[in-house]
Amino acid sequence: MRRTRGLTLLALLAFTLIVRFVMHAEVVDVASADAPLSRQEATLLYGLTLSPSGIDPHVNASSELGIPLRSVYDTLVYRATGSPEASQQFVPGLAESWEISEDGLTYTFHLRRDVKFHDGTPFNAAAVQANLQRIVDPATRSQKAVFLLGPFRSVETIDEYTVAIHLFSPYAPLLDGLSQVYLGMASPQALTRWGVDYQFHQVGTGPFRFEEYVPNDHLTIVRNDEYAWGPSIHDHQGPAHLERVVFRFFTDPAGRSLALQAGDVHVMGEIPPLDAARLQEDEHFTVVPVPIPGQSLGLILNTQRPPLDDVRVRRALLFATNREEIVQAIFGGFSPPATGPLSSATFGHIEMPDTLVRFDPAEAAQLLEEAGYTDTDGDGVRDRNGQPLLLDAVLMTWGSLPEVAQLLQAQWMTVGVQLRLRTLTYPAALEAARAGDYHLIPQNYAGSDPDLLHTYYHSNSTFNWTRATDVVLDDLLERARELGDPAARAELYAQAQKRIMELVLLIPIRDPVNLNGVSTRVQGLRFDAQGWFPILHDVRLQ
Amino acid sequence: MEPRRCWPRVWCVLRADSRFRAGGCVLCLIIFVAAAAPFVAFHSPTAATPARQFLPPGIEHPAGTDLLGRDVWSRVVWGGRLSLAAGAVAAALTVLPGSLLGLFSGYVGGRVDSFLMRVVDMALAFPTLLLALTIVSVLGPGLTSAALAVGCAGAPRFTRIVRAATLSVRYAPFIEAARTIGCPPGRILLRHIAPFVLDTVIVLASLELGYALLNIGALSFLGLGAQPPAPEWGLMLTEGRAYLGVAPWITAVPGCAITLTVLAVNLLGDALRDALGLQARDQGNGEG
Repeated sequence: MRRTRGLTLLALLAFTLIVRFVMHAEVVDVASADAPLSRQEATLLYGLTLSPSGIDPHVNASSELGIPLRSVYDTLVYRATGSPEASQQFVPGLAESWEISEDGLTYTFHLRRDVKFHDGTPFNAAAVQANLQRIVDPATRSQKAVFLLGPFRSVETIDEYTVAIHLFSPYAPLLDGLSQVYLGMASPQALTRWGVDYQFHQVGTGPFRFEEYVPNDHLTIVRNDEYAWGPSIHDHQGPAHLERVVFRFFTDPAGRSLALQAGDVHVMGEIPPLDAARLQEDEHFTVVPVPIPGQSLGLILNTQRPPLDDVRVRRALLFATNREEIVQAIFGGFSPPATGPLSSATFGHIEMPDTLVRFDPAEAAQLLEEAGYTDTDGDGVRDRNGQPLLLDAVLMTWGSLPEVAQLLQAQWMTVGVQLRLRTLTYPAALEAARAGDYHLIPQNYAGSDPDLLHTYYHSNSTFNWTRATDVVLDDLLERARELGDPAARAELYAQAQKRIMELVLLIPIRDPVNLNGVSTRVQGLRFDAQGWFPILHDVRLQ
Repeated sequence: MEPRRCWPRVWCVLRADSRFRAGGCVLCLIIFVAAAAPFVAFHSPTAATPARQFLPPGIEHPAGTDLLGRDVWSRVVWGGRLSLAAGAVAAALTVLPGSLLGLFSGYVGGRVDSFLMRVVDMALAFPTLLLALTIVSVLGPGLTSAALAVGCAGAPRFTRIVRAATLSVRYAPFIEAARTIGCPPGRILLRHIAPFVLDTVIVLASLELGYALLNIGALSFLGLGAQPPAPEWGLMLTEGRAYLGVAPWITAVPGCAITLTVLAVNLLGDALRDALGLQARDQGNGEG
């Protein structure tokens, strides 16, 4: 009898466990965190939303690593903050000034002479050289930093405080790359000493020192009291206000606003939109939406796989998509509908004309008729030669994609297109992308330079999941990355964006916006031009 | 012919057992509601109407609506068909091959038995859900592969138990006698051994259904089972959990459905076990 009860209880227990897992996964995590908070007043608690597989900025690529490490490293240059146009300006960082040669192949940087790494090593041209050589070394297996350097040829030390970067071909986005944390300057001594373990012992020149990283648990940075070389994008010079920042991981979206309201963190990124709406009504918190420059969030269309090899079918899908409805229902209006491949926070972004992108189900039906798809068997799904118009979408769980796709399913069904959904883990989705085993697949990468279009739409790129090969588009993207003049580049990118929507290479849905929940105790929190990364140097805690 | 006469007696014992009556009634009700889905659910389980987002339970929507404005009651009712069917298929996949293999292994004995049992040992080294996770990642996500995976993952446990039951009668005098008079092995297995194993199988199969329902729900919850917009119970839990603070009914209703079903099935199984006097034999079925 005792075992009998045990078994009946098992069912209850299992359900309780599921609910516990859902609701309290975060709380357990944080309970253990209360202990080391003796210096609570000057310690900012910051919630990260994803536990990165590695946090070496030269090696790994996640945005999550940059949120803490942006404050550990300085970069040669910084992007100005503000509007997409204002942020096309670069201001001095570790480099006091720089020159670009006439042919655009050589960048010469004059370095500051008063900078020391956290371990006491002086910062100089040799340090820059050591960093760049580490990044381009194939043994480093850099996932992002090396691509930011573009057609990098070599780095040359001219004197102790002058360094030159040589390129194979002109590459306008180079300064953009050099302004990112992934090309942050690390102590050459620490790099040599720690080797592959460097990610646990990072040493930079930034306003905070790297103290400790325990994967899946926390990452701590403490103030660098000697900091006196901040860029002009900082509000004040000298050391940071905060003594210490502890980052913790909150991977489950459902628990984030609860953790914030429970006082477990002061700042929390990626609050789900409906929780953000609720948080706005709480006087102890503010919601800081930060538009993220880069790709808009949408579904890439595989132009090689029938029936999507027919541009009329692709355009029909675009016209059958009611982006306003999706954004309103799922994101509560926090995330503006997108009309093209770039989010509106990106330099060079244009609003698409109505002729290219609009919600027009009648036109969509018309286009499908023209392409030969009619509903002959009366089951609500169009077919041609006995083949139903059935599309296969690969999904991932981030960005509310399953919900978005289910609304798309409903919207496209009204014009007779059936959508089948497959939710995959990230590695499985990458595998499907490589094999071309999809009609639609989500893609969303952040980046402050529109050259990211080259990475995702040029026919030579392995990340071109549209599989389209268009000479006009290729030419635009190749020319744009070599131009120095921002206005001329913007013009080429405007044409490229229009071309992408003429060919209907993607179904844009919305602009990515990071919804940060912030306690009112936190003062002066701003984010840099990349959108993801806070400028912690200026933050105060009351 | 002895076993057959005891069946009415079992029925009498069962009828007096309150667990059997409670479990039976609840399970019958759930099966009936799922079967009568078109008559008890007045909305489409999949049609999205975003304008009706997050309506609380009321007259129009007895269990409220979800993010996409779908009627939660209709989804739970239609989902019952999916979840129950998947659970039944998985339980059948566990019970049938598991029992046959156990019978065979126990009867044949020797090297074949040793080999089979080592294979079973290896499979048993993994927790059922972990093994199912592995299988489903090979098969790819989907409700069919989830049922298949849960079924296959449970089979080794069943093989082990049925083999033990087979061994307990394998060397009994009446089996020796049957063999001596020249009974073929197939007939011995099915005619003389199987009836003795059958009561164990019936009881454990009923409990297996409960485990299968839970495990399939768990796989769907993790995104490896049913795919959206299918109204599967485990998947509904996942979809609702992000909105627990705003609309708890999206999670609570399918959650209660899973709990009630598994509870009912387990009550039934427990009552069956007591009625068949099998407490002592339930050695190997400790985890779920």
